[in-house]
Amino acid sequence: MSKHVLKPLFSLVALLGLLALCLGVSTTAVAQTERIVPKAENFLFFVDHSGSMAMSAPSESKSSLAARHDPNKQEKIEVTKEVLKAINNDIPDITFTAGLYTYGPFQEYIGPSPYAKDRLNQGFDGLKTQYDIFGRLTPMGLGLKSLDAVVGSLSQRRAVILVTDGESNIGPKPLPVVQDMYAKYGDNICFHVISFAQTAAEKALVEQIAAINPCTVSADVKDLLDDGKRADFVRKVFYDVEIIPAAPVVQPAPPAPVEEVIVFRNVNFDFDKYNIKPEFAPLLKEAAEIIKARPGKRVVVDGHTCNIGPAVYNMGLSERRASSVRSFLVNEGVPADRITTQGFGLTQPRFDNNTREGRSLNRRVEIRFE
Amino acid sequence: MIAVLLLAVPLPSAASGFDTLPASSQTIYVEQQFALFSQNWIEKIDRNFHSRIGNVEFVNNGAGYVGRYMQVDRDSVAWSVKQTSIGPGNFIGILEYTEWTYESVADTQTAAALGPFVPVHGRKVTEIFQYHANRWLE
Repeated sequence: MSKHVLKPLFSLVALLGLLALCLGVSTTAVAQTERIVPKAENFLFFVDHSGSMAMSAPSESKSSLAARHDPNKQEKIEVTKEVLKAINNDIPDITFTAGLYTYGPFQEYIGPSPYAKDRLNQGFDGLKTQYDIFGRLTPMGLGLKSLDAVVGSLSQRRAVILVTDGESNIGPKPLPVVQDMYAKYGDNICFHVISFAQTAAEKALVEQIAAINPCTVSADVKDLLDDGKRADFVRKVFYDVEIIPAAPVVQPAPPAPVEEVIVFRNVNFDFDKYNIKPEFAPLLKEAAEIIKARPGKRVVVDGHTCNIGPAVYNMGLSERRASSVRSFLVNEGVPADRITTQGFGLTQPRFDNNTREGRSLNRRVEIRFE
Repeated sequence: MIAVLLLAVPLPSAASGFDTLPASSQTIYVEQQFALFSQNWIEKIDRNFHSRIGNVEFVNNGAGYVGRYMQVDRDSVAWSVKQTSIGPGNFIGILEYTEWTYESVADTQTAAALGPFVPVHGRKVTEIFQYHANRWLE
């Protein structure tokens, strides 16, 4: 006897692989990805460009008699430009509105516009150094009031990165101006500080500004010359890192259970018949051989009917059909204690009882292996 | 007549198994008939399932909706013809196939209908058919 398939057979390995792919899946581990989210929609750099910033950067000396200005050292404004460009370089690829302003005098170098690294660097490059400091006082409070007009023109969250040496020696005091701006804009504004403060008074002003709102990130300019500390500053000022759970990693679930069953529909199970005619003996003999080839398995013979006729009568009919098949199988040598029978009547239609085809398919006996 | 029929119907391809006896012309004809009968029978099974594609069954199980349908795995279909010991020309046809029950679970029937449907239960079915009076009996 030749066994035929309607389509080419797969190798066993390929078939198992295909089965694994076709079967249902279950989720197990969840991979994660990160997303950078800006902390504000608007970042304004506000740089002290007064006479004090043209003096040398803070020395390492703790002595109160140490010179405030050493012509052999870099000016604060020169260090400012260097640090701001390094910060600009550290800012990741995020979208926000950027601006660059100074005070002492108040001047717009870059008006609020979409952030572009090169453009901001050009703005920093444009900050003059080695300028005449005579009469160039530090109006921080007045500068902040002028900046308020710019801040007010922006929508959503604003961050002001204030570069200051802690001096404010003309005009309104800066602390009340900052407090007023926090009161005006609430959670939509935060002042950050890059400090050149040296004296106790200068440091006190910086600390007072930082203390108004816990959102403030404050850093000493010397620290921002360190790559790691600067990266940390940028991370705290400019963005948050969100963890996004990725799509669950799916793995093949255990294979769905497969039961084995022999089905008879045509052993003369016409309407209201349960006896087996002799010409159908070869079918049941074949079934007996299949059963005997599986000696370890118990066998259940289930009888089913279509939905024509009363339910009670169909139940009895299905039991009689199952019993007829069992008797034949036992006569063919299948041990009687291996076979049990069940009648289901019309209660388990596998096929559509609304069609003649479906009803004929429902009139069946199934031999299940357990 | 048989020769004409042999030319009209292409021989089925054998993918496995072995021949113990040389196949007679009649056996080939009967096999060809069973090949066609098997194809038609599988089509009949598929279009008459109580729950099938085009008539998916939805059940509210209290926690949501389960969509369910059954379908024959066409790649699983295999058939063979055996000559029985009772008289010459007596044949039985053995048709094997796997039925899969597919289910989709969701909060609403509409969502369940969208799937995905995954196989939850399979039945490896063996049907045995009788050849009588030059035809296969359903």
